[in-house]
This record gives sequence, C-alpha cells and structure tokens, in this order.
Amino acid sequence: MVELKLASVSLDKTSRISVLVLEEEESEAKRIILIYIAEPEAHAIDIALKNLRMPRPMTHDLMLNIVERLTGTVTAIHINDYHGKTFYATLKLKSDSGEYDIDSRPSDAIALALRCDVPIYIEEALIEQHGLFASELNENKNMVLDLDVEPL
Amino acid sequence: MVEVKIEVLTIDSNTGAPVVILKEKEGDAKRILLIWIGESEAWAIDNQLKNVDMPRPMTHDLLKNVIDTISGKVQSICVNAFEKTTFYAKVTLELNGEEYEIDSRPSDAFALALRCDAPIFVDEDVIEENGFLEEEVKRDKDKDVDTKDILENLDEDVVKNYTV
Repeated sequence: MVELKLASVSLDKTSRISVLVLEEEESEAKRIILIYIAEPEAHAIDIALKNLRMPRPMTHDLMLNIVERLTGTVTAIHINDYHGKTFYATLKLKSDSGEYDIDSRPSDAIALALRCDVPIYIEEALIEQHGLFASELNENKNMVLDLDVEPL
Repeated sequence: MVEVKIEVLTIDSNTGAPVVILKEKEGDAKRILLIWIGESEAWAIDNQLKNVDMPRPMTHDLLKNVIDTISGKVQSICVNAFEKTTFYAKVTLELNGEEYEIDSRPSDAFALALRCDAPIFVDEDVIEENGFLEEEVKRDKDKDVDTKDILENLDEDVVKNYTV
C-alpha cells in the first residue's frame, strides 16, 4: 500500500473532463496517478482543497456529519482496483460496532477524505501499472492539461 | 408536520434550474410547495425516481450504504425552515434506539429519503407560509393544469420569492 496526496484537480483540455492528480507521498521519484471523475464530485473536491466555506452543508459534508453523529469515523480510503477503465475505492470506517469497508467511487472517497483529513492509499500493483513519473508529465503539474490521456 | 410526496421534478424554464414540486399526501385541498435545487442533486433525485441502475454507487447511494453499514436508519426527513430564499431540512436518523437530527439541504434529504423509503415531511408553519393550492396561483383560473405544468402557469410574483 502506497500513500497518495492529492496534488490538484484539473480539467483535461481535450475531453473537458475533470481529472484528479494524485502524487506519491513518500519516495524521491514520485509516481503520479490520474483519475478522471465527474463534475459534481470534482466541485466537491475543489471546495475542500480550497477550504471554501459554503453557506449550507454540501453532500459530502452531510455524509461526514452523519458518520460523526452516528459515532463513526472514517479512518482511511483505499484505491484498490481497476477494471474496465474504472478505478475502484474502499472507504475504511470505524464505529462502536466494528470496522467496515464500503465500496465507493474514488471521487466520493477522496471528497470525504479531504474533509476529515484521512490518508489516501493505493495498492502497490495499481500504481505500478497505472502510475506515471512526474518527469513523464513535465515539471509543471498544469502540464497534465495538455496530456493526451484517453478519457473514460 | 404534514407528510408530502415528490409529485414532480421539473426544470424551471425561466431560470433553467431544477425544481422539486412537493404535494401534500392527505387532505381534500392538497397544498403544494416548490423547492429550487442544484443540478447534481436533481440528478440524484431523478435517478432514484426513475429507478435507474448505475454501474457504480452514486454519492447518495454511498451515503445510504454508509448509514446502513453502521446499522443506522433514516426515519424521516423534514423541511423545517425557510429563510430569505432558502429552505432548510433535517434528516432524522435512528441508531441503537437513539434519535439524531442532522441539518441538510432539502435536495440531499430528498435524494436520501427516496433511497431509504423514508417519509418526507414539511413543517406546518413552512407549508402554511410558502405552500399554496394550485387553484390559487393559476394565471388562468378556469383552465385545468397538470401539476407538472404548474410552473408555466404560476404567478410570476410567487416564483420570485423562491429564486435567487
């Protein structure tokens, strides 16, 4: 398991689809994972990244409020599978009654992770297979906007 | 509190924004309440109203799965306040015999209630003040109008109160 940090949420210039740029937390040659996501979740992630205060709870705020009121805690999120061009994730949850894994889209899981400051992990085999080196992208993260990545 | 149902989810052709039309469940003269909502929450409501099967859990499916997993239960949701142009709601949850009330936008609460088969309520004061009978607000009093077409037939002053 490798810890990732969300470097940015960008827009793929060609496809006009939002893309998450996740970067390896440790190690010198940081590998990067790109995950294409839908617009509402990109918005939810962007709000959290920019620490914007919204007048009303957004959907992922509501989710976190509910988890906390029901005395649960989100402990981590794992990006743990990839097939058919889709990344899969698991929400690690703890409550009085036990520990649970809940299937989630990575976008929802990351929107939640940013709101409760929990680590984002990815399976070693996945980053091995889908990771890119920063040098392959360019020093500038915005370079991702020019990437000719096949969109979902 | 009065129980309502989501009668229609439609688009307000003036603003392009989605609107949920709630209608009282019981009674002879059923009042309706219009709530303008965001686009992504409208999708979440629409998918559930139409029973669309998605390949992956959408955000409100995940929310339901989270609640189910920790053995919580959504008992009901209630639109319980209106300030300026914004309706407020609360979600009532039950866990181990304890009740919890959580502040929510009405749209999220509707999307969740539909997935959990939980009843939707509106505070009597809120519907008294903001609800209306269709006959009252129709431009053409003599014309029969289907609820889904009510928006086009509403007095413009009514709409103004609820849109930004």
